[in-house]
Amino acid sequence: MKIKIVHLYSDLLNLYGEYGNVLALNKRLIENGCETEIISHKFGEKIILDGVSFLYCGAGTEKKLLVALSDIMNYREEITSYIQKGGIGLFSGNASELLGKSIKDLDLKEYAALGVFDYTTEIIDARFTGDVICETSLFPQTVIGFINKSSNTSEISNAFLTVKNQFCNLYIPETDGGICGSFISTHLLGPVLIKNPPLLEFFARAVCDRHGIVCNDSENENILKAYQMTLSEQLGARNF
Amino acid sequence: MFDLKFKDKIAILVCKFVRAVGKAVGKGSSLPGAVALKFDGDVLKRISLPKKIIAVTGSNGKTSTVEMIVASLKANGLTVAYNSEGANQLDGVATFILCNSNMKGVVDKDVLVVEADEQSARHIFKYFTPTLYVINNLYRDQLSRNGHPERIFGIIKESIADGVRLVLNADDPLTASFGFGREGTVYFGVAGNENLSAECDSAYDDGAFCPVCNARLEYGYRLYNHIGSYLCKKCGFKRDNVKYEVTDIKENEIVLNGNRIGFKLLGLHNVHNMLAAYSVLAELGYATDATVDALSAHILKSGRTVSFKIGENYGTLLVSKHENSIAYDRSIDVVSNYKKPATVVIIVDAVSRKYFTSDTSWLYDIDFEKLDLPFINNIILAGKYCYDLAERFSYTSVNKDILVVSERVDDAMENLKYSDMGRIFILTCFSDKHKALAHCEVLPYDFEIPESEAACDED
Repeated sequence: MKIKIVHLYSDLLNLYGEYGNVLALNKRLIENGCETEIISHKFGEKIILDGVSFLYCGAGTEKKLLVALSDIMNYREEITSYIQKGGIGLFSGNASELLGKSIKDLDLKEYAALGVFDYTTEIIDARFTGDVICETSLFPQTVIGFINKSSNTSEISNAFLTVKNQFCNLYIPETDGGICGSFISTHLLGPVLIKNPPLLEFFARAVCDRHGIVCNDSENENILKAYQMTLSEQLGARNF
Repeated sequence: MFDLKFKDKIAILVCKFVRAVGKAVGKGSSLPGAVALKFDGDVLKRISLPKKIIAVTGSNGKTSTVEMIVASLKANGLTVAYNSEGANQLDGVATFILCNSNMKGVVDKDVLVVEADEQSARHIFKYFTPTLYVINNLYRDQLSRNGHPERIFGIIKESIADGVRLVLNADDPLTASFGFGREGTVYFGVAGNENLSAECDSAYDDGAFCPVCNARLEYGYRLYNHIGSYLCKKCGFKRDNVKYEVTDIKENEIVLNGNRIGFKLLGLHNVHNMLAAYSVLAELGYATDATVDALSAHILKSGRTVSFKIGENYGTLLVSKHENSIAYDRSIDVVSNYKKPATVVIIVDAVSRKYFTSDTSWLYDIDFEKLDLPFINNIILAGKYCYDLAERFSYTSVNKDILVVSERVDDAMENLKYSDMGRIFILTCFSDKHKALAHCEVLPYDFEIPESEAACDED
């Protein structure tokens, strides 16, 4: 049986190479002998979650996020049901905001969101960007990444990340994202699974376990060395 | 002429003094303006500027376009003041304006040409209004400070005063949308041909949706990425009314509105830069032989293309701006058009020279896939982020046997000295350029590089 990886709104929400997350998981599953299929869902197409093993959605501009929100709400039941039944997936960058209770636009108009997590988001005029170092309860290794957003998210509970240090002009709360079983949201953007081999392993193992496949340890030295280099650069940058 | 206050004169004097001191120690294209503005925040409002003010902004090609405009204006006998050192934020612009001003507060030139940083344009043009305002393009660029192109669109929009005549790249939908419904806008572009596809073959498509109404855009052809001819069937926004158009591009020549202009530069992006420059000159009434001659003779002075020799090998360094995938893609175009034995060196050691970030997401926006070419014998990935590069290449069809990964730029460069590498192309940013060139003999721009004897892998 093919393992289906769905990349939601791959044409609308795809800032800064986030498709790399899908490629990375796909490669890791193939390394473990899985037969896989990547489904690049496009805006306007029906979202079908039957038989899906991994659901991914990435960041977009604020304008395009609201366009996606208006569409994804047509599938609220299917998506919440997928997650609540233990579905595996990741919403990264501002796509994480789709999973909260609501999103308020710049005119303070509030839109209901999927409501998987308790947090609410307000889009703002200022831009917060910067490298971050975080911890998670999912594994002992440090999570590294980059945030680039024009929003404030509040009322975060069951967060995915505790932010340990923040650089540049970034202001974010001490916590970020959410965890619901093996479904994760985070404002970290870009190919976050490539930047964080432990997170890639978390998802690869979750998918393999679901399909009764043994997940072997990764032998990808490049990804580990890149992670270590980025971590040392970030630690060195601010004497963390 | 404005009424110059005493403190304005002091501000001019301070600026000139700090500039002179800075020059003596080899620094300071922005500091003098910063000091002057701190002393007298409104001084720029009271400087008498030339009647003709040309502004240039956009993600890529600002400096090159300004160089071409200035050279052409001078060729037509006009005197010009411009930010020749490329300091394009408010402080840098204040520096060059105040330093070009006499003590009566007059910039006694025919034309002022201002290169404006995208984020700073709204601050700069609070003090004066351009006659012609060129916007070259809006690309994914420096995500660490810019966010994304739509955000920059909003910021640039704040800098456009009523009555300003926009000169826009018609081939870039987001840029062209500045002129949607705006009277008097001038558009320039490159015409399509039967060899171009309407399909996007890039890592991402920033032209998928209409910048005006968010409906899906349809393309007639694409020059590269989202640059081409597009139409929105919902709101009617399209590439239209192109007044200045390149209709033919040959190896050393372009045809622009019927004029044959010599083209000594590399890459289609420079055709757009030249188009922007010609459009400005023509709008000012200088669609002259002198303009054509000046553009034909133009070579870039800003160090974006450098010829070099290392060991017995010759090469070209193409400055490609980290965090800017389109800039890298255009360099990859140059490599792919070479079609003879070649080695490509990609260096990512410091992501930025201006701020710290270790983010490498932008590598996934670059079309490295297009380096899967039979004549490339080696691809060397160098610098602190060489492993990020190696991982990025693992998602391409490039033969992994030709990849060499080197954490130290010095080691990568030294190894280029000892065997026939074919023509070497170094793709890197200003932040890392000097680390490569430190190992090379830099050659004159017009040096004719001899062909290599290296074998070409025909597989």
